[in-house]
Amino acid sequence: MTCGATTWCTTTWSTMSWKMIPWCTLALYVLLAILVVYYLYLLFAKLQGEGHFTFDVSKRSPLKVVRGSVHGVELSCQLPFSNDGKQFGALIDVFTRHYLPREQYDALEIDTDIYRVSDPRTEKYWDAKIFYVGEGEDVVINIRLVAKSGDIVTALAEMPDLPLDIFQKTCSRSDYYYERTYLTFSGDEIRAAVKEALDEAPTEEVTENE
Amino acid sequence: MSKIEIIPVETRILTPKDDIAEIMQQCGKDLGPDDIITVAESVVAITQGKVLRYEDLKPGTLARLLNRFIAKEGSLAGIYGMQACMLAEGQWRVAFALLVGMIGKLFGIRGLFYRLAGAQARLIDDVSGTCPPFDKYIVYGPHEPKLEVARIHAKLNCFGVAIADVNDLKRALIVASTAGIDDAVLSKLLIDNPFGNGNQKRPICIVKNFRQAMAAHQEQGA
Repeated sequence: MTCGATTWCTTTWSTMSWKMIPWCTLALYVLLAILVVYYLYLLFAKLQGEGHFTFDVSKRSPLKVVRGSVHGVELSCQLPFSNDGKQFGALIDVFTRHYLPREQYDALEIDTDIYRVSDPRTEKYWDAKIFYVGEGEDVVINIRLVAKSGDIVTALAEMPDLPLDIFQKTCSRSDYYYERTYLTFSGDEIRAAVKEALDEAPTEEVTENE
Repeated sequence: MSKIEIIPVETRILTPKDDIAEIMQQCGKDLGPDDIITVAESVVAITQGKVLRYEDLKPGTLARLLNRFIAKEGSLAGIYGMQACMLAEGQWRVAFALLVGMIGKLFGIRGLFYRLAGAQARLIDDVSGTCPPFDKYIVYGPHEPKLEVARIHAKLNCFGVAIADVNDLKRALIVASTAGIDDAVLSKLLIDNPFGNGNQKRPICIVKNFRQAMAAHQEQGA
């Protein structure tokens, strides 16, 4: 049995009527049309693209002590982020997680947070914001270290590197998703920042900020 | 003629646990018979509980297909905003409106989509469109705004009540108002967004001597 398509192909439009088109041929052409439209849409979506955020770890500023006392210290740094995608993107939520478990180092209480330079906060809330292509700004990362006992300089003496991830809940034209950016603050950098702060200010002045 | 005066009223963040009529009653104790009181549409919707998280929505194929044809500034440009609109207005209505809107654009007619897709297409705010903690929600336009202004007006002793959608881009849309208010006059008065942005927590504005200003404006027009 030959397929109806052969009959259809040899029939010219001028002589053809709907009754002459076999139903399976018609279905085939409808299916093909749907597929063409679908793939055109996929191509359009791909060309249109999505928003995407990059937190540029390579441009992170060195850690600096912003306040401190005998028992604890708060360090801070900045790094830029931008929407380097092809569409707008919303940063719905951004938060930090630090990974220094007590099994690895138990001399410190650690707390971290992140906020935009344009929207300083202390309650760890991220105000969702849309960024168009190329837009971005700096974020501030704060690290608070408090000695579980004794003074902070002693508690920091053996501190290993502090891994910290920035979690981003992002949405653009498609489904929202989480992405993470990896950061590591070396123990040496933290100790050096604290030493620099102590060298710059007498111990009494640093203590006053407790 | 008494001078027209716009007084923004600061409130705490209002939530679905609040009754907007009671809040406006508290804010409008000093209203006179020529004054009106206006409220931001997103705040009315929030007190009505008309908010959704992205996690509450499962965008369908049509939403995923059509959102890509909305300009980047629109709240329906994402699949969640589009799905929220389709839930409120019907997916085929929104799809039809988008098709007609695109054809209209080819002939230089703009804004057909928002005219045909229903009120929620114009009023939905996607994430970041409202102040925290509702910055992480899709916020609909108010439900039955005409009934809501009438309900609020019944509790107040003033000339009228209006719900407005105002932004910093010189857009002041009067969503609903009680009888007697000239929406065009009110829209002109609110064009500079006296509500401020959401973080300023000024969702209510009192317009003193509005009736007289409206009469003067209508006389000028005549």
